Amino acid sequence: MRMEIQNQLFIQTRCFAATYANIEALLAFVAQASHLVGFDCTAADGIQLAVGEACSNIIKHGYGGEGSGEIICTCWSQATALAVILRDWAPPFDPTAQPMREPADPTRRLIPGGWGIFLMRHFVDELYYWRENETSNVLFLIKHKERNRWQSQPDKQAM
Amino acid sequence: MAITTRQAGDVTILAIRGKITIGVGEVELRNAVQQALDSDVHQLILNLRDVSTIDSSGVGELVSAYTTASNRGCRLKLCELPPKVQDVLTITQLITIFETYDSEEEAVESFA
Repeated sequence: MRMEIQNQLFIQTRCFAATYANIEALLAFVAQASHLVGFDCTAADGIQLAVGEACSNIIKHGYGGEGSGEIICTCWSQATALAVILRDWAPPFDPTAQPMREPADPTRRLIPGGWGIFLMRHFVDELYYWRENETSNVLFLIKHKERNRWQSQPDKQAM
Repeated sequence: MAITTRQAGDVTILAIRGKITIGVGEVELRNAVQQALDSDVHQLILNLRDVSTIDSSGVGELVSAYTTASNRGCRLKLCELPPKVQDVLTITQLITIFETYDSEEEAVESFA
C-alpha cells in the first residue's frame, strides 16, 4: 500500500560499496522511494535505469573500477517528485559535462558505447552535478510525476 | 544471466534469461555470440523474452554482437523483446538497425 505523503517529504539515505553487484541493491532502495511517490511502473523503471547508469559511471569513470569506494544514495520522496542524490568520493567526474550521443546520427549508430548519459538524461527531468569541498561529487537526479518544478529546491549545504 | 542454445534447422537460437547490464550479463552474452560464430553459424537469433533489465552496457553488447556477426557473414536477428528492451532500443533508435520479430517462430521463418 502506498503511503500518503501529500505535502510531506520523506528522506532516506543508505551507503553502498561501489561495486556493480551493489547497483541492484541501490536500485531496490530507489524503487522503494519511487513507490512512495506513486510513480507508475514505466516511470519507476526509467528512474532506476537512469540511477543505474549514474552509478555505473561513478564506478567506472569516477573510482576507476570496482571496490575503490562508496556511493551514498539519498532519496527525497515528495508528493509530486522524487529526487535521488548520489554522493561519491572519487576524483571529479561531471556526467552533465560529457558529450551525449545523438540517436539520429546514423554514422555513429554502430559504435557500441556511450549511451549511458543519453539514457540518464532521457529518463529523468533534471540532472545536476557539483563538486563539494573538493572532496566529493554530488549528482542530483529529479523525476516529476507531472513535469512541474521541484516544489522546494533542496539546499545544497544541507546535504 | 543464463543463456541456452538451441537449433531450428540451420538457425541457432540463443535464449537469454536475466539481466544484460554492466558487470552482470554482458560478458556472458559476448562469449555466447563468439562461441556461436566460432562454430560457423550464419543464422543467429537472440531470443530476449526473459531479459529482465538492460542498460547502456547491454545495449552496447547487442550492437557489438550485431556488428561482429555481420563482419563474419552471419545474420543476427532479435525476437520477443520485452517492453523494457523495446523501449531502450526505440529511444536510442537502435531498433532500426536490428531485424526484430514478435515470436521466435517468425524469426526462424524469416531466414527461409
